[in-house]
Amino acid sequence: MRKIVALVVFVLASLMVGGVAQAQMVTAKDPSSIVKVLQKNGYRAELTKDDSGDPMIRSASSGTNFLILFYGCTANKDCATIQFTSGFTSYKNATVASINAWNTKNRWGRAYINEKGAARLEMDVDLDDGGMSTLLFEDNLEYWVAVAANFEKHISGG
Amino acid sequence: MGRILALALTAAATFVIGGVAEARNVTAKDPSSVVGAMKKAGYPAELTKDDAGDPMINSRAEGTDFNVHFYGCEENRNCKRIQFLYTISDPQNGSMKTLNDWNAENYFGRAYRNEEGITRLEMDVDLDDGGMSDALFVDNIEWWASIMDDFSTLMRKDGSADDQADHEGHDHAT
Repeated sequence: MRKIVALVVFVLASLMVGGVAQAQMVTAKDPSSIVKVLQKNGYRAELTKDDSGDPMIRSASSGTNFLILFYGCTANKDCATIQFTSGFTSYKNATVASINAWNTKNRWGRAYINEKGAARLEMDVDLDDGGMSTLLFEDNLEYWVAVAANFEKHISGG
Repeated sequence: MGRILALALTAAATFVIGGVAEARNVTAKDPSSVVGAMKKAGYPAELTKDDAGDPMINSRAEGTDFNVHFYGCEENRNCKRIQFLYTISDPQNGSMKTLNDWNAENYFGRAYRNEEGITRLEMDVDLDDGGMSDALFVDNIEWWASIMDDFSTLMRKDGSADDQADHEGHDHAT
């Protein structure tokens, strides 16, 4: 009898731990879930709003500012995907040909020259359908940080 | 006593079902999980190998062929990431300016042309660290199929036409 009770308690405790892990999924629907992961990993994360009222997070890595924009939102809520994005103005190697060469050689992210002549780097992450684990989101965040540093070096002519 | 046993069995069964759901995650480590999710979503998926011996999947969406490449593999196994890849050798409409504008206006994926004029659209998905749910992976494939359809249409279009006309307003049903 005592053994069975111990088993029940153990199984229920395991279930609760499972439930907590489930609740920690990173989703675009819950911008605070993204803020938490950024802060846990030592990044600044200021949750604010973009011009259209959708959520937006301001952050930075190695002195370079970046934004996390939210897409697929319904009335500024219930967003589906996010985009890491950073703008780079006045870099000597920021030409269409040089950016194309970067896009050819690198994975993760998408670089282009915008209509104002500034270089931009973007990386989209789908956080719809229940989102992804904190661990997998952290791995995506590491890619973004590495790719942004690599891109800045490339357009600096380094 | 009987009730407690029944409760214990129910709880144990629930826990086991949770474990099975976990095991169904799509990971790059298990290429068959990627094949399974693609087939379930209605895409053909032939598992083969690339030149380096890493796993590769041949597939097709909207009549256009594409591949799924595996990256971060160790001795052709235990891969970490995948990449959806569409290649067009001699596009009608693949100037660097057109590709730059495409990159500026679209989400997901990255377009470029190499020195030989071979033009590609790529989209990377991280399937490391336990991977992602079937539902989220299928959503990623839908993004891919959508942007590849737009991009392949643009690349086959007469280069003299307005670059931007047919892919503006592109949206993904979420």
